[in-house]
Amino acid sequence: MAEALFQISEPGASRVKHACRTRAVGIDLGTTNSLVAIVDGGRPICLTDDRDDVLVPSVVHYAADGTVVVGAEARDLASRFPRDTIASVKRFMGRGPGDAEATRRLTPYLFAPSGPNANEAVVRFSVTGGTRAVTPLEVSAEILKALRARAEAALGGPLAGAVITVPAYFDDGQRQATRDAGRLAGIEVLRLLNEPTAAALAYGLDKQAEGTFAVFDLGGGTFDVSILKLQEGVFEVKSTGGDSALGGDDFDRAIAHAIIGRLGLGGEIDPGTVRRVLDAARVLKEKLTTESEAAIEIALPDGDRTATMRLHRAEMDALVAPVLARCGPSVRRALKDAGVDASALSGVILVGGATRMPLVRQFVEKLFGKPPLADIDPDQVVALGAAVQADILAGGAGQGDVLLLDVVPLSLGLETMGGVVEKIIHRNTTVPCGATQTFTTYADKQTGFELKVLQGERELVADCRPLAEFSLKGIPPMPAGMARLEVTFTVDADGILRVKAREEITGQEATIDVKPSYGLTDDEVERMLLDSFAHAEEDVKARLLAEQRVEAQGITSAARLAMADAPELLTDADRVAIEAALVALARAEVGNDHQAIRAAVEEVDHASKEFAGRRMNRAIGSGLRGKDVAAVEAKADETASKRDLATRAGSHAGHSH
Amino acid sequence: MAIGVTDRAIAEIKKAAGQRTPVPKGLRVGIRGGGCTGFSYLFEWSDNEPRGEDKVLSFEDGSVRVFVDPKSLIYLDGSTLEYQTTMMGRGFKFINPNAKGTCGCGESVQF
Repeated sequence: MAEALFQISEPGASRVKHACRTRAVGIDLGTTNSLVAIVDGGRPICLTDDRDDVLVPSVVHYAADGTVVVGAEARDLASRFPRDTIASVKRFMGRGPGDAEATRRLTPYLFAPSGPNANEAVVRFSVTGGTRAVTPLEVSAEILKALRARAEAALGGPLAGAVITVPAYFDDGQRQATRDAGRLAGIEVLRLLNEPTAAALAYGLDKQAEGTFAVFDLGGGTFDVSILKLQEGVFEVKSTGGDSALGGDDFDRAIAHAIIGRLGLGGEIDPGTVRRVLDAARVLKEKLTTESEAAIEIALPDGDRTATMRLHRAEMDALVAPVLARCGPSVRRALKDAGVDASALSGVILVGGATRMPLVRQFVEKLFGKPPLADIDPDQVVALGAAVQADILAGGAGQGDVLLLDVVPLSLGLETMGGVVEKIIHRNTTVPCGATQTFTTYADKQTGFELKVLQGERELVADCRPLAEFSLKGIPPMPAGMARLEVTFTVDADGILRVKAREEITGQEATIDVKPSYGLTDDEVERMLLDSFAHAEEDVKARLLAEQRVEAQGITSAARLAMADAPELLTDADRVAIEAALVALARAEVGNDHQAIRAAVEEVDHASKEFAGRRMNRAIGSGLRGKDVAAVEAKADETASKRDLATRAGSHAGHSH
Repeated sequence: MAIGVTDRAIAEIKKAAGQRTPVPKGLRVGIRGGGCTGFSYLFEWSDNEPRGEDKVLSFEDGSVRVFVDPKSLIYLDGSTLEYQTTMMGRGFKFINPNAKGTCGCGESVQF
C-alpha cells in the first residue's frame, strides 16, 4: 500500500499532544486507592504526600458546609458520616440507576431519585442530608483533583497531561466516564491505558524481559487477567479477561457477613454499623496477611458496648476462597484465547493490594504452576507503568520503541448460505489488522451479493449479533462458482471495522464502516463468549448440517439445470445414474446426519462427473469466442435474482500491518 | 544534521501559509510516540517562535521556516521533505533513510 501523504495540521491537532516531559503523569484511579507517578531521571516513581504515603484512599467525603474532603481524612470520616462519604466509587462508573450490579450490593449509600432529566442514565448519590446529589463521575473527579494537586506540588507547576489507567474490561461508557472525570478535574487525558498493560510496562522496562507473561490483577474492586507478549521492546496483548465486579472489597464483604453473623447483628443494620463492620473486616484481612491470628474491637449499634471479633487465617481463607475461585475460569479462558499453555509462560505478574494475601499467592502459583513475580510493589506497579507511558506520549526519550496493541473483543464474520457464519477476523486478533477471503456465487447467473456482517463466536447467524448489511450489484451473469468476490475486513487502531467487497472480474466494489464495539457492554461480551463455549458442540453439528444441506441443494439445482440446459451432452447411462443419485440425496437431505448427506452429495458428483466435464469444456469454449455481453445481461436480469453470499471458493486470510 | 526540503515543497508550504490566518510563524515537523508502529510524524503549523533548542531551517530569505526539535532531528537526519501528487492525492512526504518500516497507512514509522 502506498504511504499516506501529509497535510499540515493546526498546532496541537496532531494525534499525540504536546506535553512537556516532566509534566505528564501516570494515574492509577483505583477502586480502593489511587496513585500518581512521574518519570524522574528515566525511572518512574510514585509521588507521596507529606506523610510519605503513596496511596490516596479513593474516598470522598461531602461535608454539610459544602467542603469536600478526599483521601485518608475522608476515610476516617466514613463511619461517622456513612452516607456522605463515598468509597469504591469506581464500581459505579458508567452504571445506570437500574443497574442491579451497582445498587444491589451491601452499601451504606442513599441513591438519589433520577434527576430532572429523565434520560439521565447514571446513578446519583444523595449526600449532605439530601441537599446534594453527586454522580460517580463527579466523585472520581474529586479524587483526580487531589492527585493533580499532589503532582503539581511536587512539580512546582501546572500539569500538562496524564495517562489514566482503567480495567481491561471497562466498556465504552465506563471509559468515557473516566475520561470526563479527568476533564472535570482539569486534567488533559493523554490516553486511557489498560491496567495490566501498564503493569507489564513497568516490569518490561525494569527487567528488559522478553517472553510471554500473564498479569494477574486483583485490586479492590476489579479483577483483570491479561496475556501479554514482550518481544524486542514490543508489547502485544494476546488476550484479556476478567470480571469488572470482583476484588478485595468482596473479600471484605465475605468477612463482614461472617462478623455480622458471629455478633448476632441480624435484621436491619444501620449504615454506620455497616461501615464499621466493613472497616473491621478490612483491618482483619490486612493483619492476617502477616499474622496467623488477629482480633478487633467493633462498636455495637446499641451504644457504648463493643464486641471483640477474633479470626484465624485459616478461617478467613475459608471465607474468601469461594470468592477467589471465581478468578479461575477467567484465567483459563485468557490462556486458551492466547493459545498459550500456562507452562509456556515466562512469568506471572502480580498487581493489586489483594495479591499480598498469602492465600492469593498460593492460588496463583497453583493456577499457573509457577511462583508469581512480585518484585515491584503490587499497589504501585500500575501507576509506575502509566507514568512510563505518559513519558513516552509526552515525547520523552529512551523508551520510544514500546508499542501497545489492543485486541478485537469478539470475532467478526460474514453470513454464508444456510445461515452459517464465516469468521474473517478472529477474536483477540490485535488491531490494527486485516484479512481477506474470496467467495463465489452460489447460483448460476447470480448478479448480486447480499453481505451481512456479524459479530460473535457462535457458528450460526441466528446466534450472532448483526452489525451491518450491504449489497454488491451489477455482476454479469456467470455459471455458479465462476465469480470471484474478494471480501476484505480491516480494523483500525480505533477499533473501527471497514468491510470492502470487490468482484474481481468486473471490478465492482462496495464498502461499509462499522464500529463493532458500539453498544456492547462487558457483560454482553462476556455472555456471548460463555454462550459460545456452552454451545460449542451443538453449534459445530448445526453448522456442518447446514453446510451440507446447502451443498445438497446447490448440487441438486445445478444438476437439474444442467440436464435441462444441455440434454444433447447427456448419455442415457448418465441420466439414469444421476437421477438415482439425486433421489438418494433428497432422502438424505431431510435427515440430520451430515455425513450421510455428504456421502450422497459425493455420489451425485461422481455420477455427473463426465457430463459436467463435457459441459464445462463447451462453456469455456463459448466464453472464449466472446458473446454479446449486453444481450446476456438483459436475459440474465429477467431470470437471476440476488442471492445470499454463497459458498466459499478458497481463502487466503492474513494480517496486514 | 540536515534535513532537505525540495523546491516544490517550499513553494507549497509558502502557498498554504499565506492562506492561513494568522500567518504561521513556521512549520513544525517532528517525530512523536504513538501511531500503529510506534512513532508518528508531527506536521503542523506553529504560531510561536521556535524554542531555544530547536533547529530552524530557513528558505527564501526566511519567508519559509521549518522548526525541528533536537530529539526529532536524530530520527529525521538525512531526510528529504517532498511534495507529491499521486493517485492517492497530494501532500507532503518524508523520504527518510532512517525508517526501517512504515505501517500500511504510512502515518506511523519504525526506526
